[in-house]
Amino acid sequence: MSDPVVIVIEVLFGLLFAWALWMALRTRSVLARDVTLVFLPLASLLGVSLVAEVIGAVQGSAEEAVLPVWVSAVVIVLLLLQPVFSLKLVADLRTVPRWLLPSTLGAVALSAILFLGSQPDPPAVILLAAVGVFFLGQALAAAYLALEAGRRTGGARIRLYLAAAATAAIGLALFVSVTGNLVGVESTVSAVGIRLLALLAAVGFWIAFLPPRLLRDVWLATSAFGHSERLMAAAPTASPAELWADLARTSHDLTGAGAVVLVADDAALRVVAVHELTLAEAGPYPLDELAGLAAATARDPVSLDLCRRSGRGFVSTVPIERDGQPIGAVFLLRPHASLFDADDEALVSRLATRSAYLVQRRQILAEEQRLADQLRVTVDALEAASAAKSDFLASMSHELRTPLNAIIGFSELMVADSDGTDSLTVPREWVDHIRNGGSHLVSLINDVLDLAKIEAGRLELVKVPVDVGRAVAESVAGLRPLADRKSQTIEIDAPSALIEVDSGRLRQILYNLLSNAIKYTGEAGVIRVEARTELGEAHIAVIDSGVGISIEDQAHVFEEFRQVGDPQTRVAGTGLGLALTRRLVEAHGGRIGVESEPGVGSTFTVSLPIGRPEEATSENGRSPITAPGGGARILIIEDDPSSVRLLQAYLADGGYRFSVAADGEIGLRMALADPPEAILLDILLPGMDGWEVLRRLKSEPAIRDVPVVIITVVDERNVGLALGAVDYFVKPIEREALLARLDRHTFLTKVRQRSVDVLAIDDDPAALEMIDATLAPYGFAVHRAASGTEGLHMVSAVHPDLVICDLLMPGVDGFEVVGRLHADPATTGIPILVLTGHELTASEKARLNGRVLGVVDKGDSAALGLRDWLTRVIPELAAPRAD
Amino acid sequence: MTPIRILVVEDEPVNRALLRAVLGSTLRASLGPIELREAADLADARRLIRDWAPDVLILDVRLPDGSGLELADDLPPPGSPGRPRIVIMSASVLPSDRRAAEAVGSDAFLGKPFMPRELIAILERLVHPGPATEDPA
Repeated sequence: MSDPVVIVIEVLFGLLFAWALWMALRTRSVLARDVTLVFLPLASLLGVSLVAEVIGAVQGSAEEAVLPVWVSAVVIVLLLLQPVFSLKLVADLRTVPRWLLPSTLGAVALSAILFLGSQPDPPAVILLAAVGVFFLGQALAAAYLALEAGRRTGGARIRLYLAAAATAAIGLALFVSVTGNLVGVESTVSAVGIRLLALLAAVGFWIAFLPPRLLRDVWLATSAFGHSERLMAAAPTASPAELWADLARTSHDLTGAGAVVLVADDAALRVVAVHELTLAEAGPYPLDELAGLAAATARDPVSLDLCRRSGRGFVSTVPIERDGQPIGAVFLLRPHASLFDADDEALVSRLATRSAYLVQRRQILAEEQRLADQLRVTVDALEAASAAKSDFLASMSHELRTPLNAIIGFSELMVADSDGTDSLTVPREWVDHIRNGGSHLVSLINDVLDLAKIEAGRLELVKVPVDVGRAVAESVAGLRPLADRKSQTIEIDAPSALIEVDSGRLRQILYNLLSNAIKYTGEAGVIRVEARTELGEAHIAVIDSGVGISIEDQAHVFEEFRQVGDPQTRVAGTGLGLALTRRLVEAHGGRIGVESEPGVGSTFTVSLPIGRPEEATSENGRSPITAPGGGARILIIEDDPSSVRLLQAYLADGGYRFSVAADGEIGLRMALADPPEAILLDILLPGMDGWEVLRRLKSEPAIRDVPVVIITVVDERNVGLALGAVDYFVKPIEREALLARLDRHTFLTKVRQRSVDVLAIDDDPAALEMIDATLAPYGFAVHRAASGTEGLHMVSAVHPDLVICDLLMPGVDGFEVVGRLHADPATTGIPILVLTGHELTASEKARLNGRVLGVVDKGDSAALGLRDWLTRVIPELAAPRAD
Repeated sequence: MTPIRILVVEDEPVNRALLRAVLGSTLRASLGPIELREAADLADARRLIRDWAPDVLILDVRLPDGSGLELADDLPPPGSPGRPRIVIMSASVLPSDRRAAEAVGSDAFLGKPFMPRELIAILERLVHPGPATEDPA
């Protein structure tokens, strides 16, 4: 039988087998080997048949040549092994029960032995059993492949279905052949049919496992297009994370592998999406191990080349590229080999690249959105700031006009009421209104200037160690008269504790809170001030028993011009005190808060960082700011006993002596009888008021040069200075400030009254010469000491009014001279001027703080610097006598 | 001659004292006899308007229990028999504040700080309309 159709089919099949074999040899992959094995039985059957025919034809016979018996036995065994080969291929691709392959092999072996043993004429039963095993095995393999196909999409699914169909076709072909033989219907038709089925199966396997490039490209394009469309549709709103998650899911759908997407972020690869990384699929690749693996190769995504097959599973790495640069990778993880590695990877790679661009676009859009949002926020903030500024100006205008109304209105009335003469008589009340309006205006302007200073960042805090307990006590003392007027009690629980703050600003804060408490607390009410230090902060609480503040209003008490609460009980104030207080507290890095219950009272709590006051603390633990009063005599004209006590305490601290006059008349008499070196004068006095006392002091030639410092609750500094006072302090008085000013004034008095002895201590003779030459023209007697030791000796002999001291000297240096003079009660009052070329560090400044009058730089123009300092400190000093 | 009844509505005692002083001074001679009453808040003012029927209101805007403009708005419309002439007196003097005062039908706006003569001139115009507005000074 030499049907040309049969021969063509056999030749074609042979070619396909040869192709598969070549691929297996070329790629050396397990999969290609197993595919070739699947072809092997049919190939050998057809090959043997072809060889027989060719030999027959050569021998001139129409019949096939009879081949040796062993040849047909081998072919039969191979044929019977077909289901084993098919199931082996299936096991490469997916999980099958462990017993399946061995038991199939056993069944095949049994049927082969029985079949071969009963040759040449096997009984029908054995034949049927062998065919049954064969058919069952093939059907099982086909079913497995079909199942696997059902789990996949796109080209992979088509290919697996083809493989399933081909496996079934092989089974069918053999089944038909064997049953044909059995019933004896060996015909040309069936021979052709069998060969045709075999060829179809071969084509099926070929397309499934070794498809031509054209077909692969078509599948790839179709899949890629479908998924790209989906990605694009999702892109406008999807976040990068969602896009990566979609890539992971798509990669899984296409390949059936667990997918992990890693993207380079800065230098490290990060896992951005994971899909179906279940144990079954990922096998022994837990995520953390994978992340570790990624990290190990993270520096360069190109080098991400994981083992394609480890002993434990299969990993493919697909780079994610953008603009030709790798930015990350998709890991495909599976427990079984993939039929389609190259194609899968090509497809995933395309999709990954598409995702990378979408992510980039999304990130750009997100960045744009973020910038737009940021701009919006900025614009909103600017608008709010502008609105706040307008509100502030409107409020400011309103607040300024209110006191001006009284000032302008009443003064106009005075003019209108005048009868044409120079003097006029007006109701006292009118003048009070004008004066109060003026004071109110001044405090308003001061507060506004302070606020403006803070706003502009020009508030300079001079932080020094301050005893909180003392500051509280002094502030309370200063405001006591106000509280006394309302018969209020002020309780203090503020133990001594040093904190580093701007002393004046702390007093301003305390003053604002205390005066508010007094204002808002009724007659005979109780106000309590507590201070505690803990956890690096000082907490000061001012607790009143006043009207209280509602919860809604508490949010606004620290805003400018917001006097909150029942308008009926509104009290006078600038409406800026608490706003300013808050800013001052915040400028110190602290916080202010309020707790209140309407009708019960309010608690304002200020928390200030303690800082490191101990660094600047002097060795004996007291505040280092001690003034060198030098025993000068001060006359205090003040009627309020508590104020007198406070001033006496301050003056004693500063090394001054003092006498006290309880009213103006007595004060004037005492000043005339024995002129003091300075006078402290209160304004609100019984009988003759402070203004009149000041006027008279200044009109007495004998004492007109005695400096007068006004100390009062009446804030009319300019009036005081205009009347001839040298200084003006509004209660509560700051001890350091008062003493510092007094030092200057008393020193000045001494200069006026007699010649001044100056002790100059410097190891440099040229410097001593310079000091002498500079000061002598002012009438100063300069005594020279060439070392610290000599200087300390001379102090007791000379009793200098001023010591000018260098800092860096061999042996006893300037710091030590200053320290010793300060420590000795006999010399602590002597003012010291430091003249040095040495730039002082913060801690050195702290050592000198409060112990010296000033520091003058000993540069090229030291003489000029010294003269400048003198005239700045003592502007009234007579010009040097002309040489 | 019936005295002109003037009601001052102002919460700030100093400002009431000032108005008292101005309306008690020689400046007010041109107004003829006047009778002055004072209210420190809206509630007092409403009571006095009802019981005392003033001819002129000198009305502050920021008051403890509300805005003076509210009070002006609640009065019968201008031209009605029971309606007093209204002088709005305020330290809020921005154009928007003046417009708000006009919107409630006030007859005059007096910004703080004011000159006593200004107030007298306004009152003269309101109580003696016509050519007889001669400055006595």
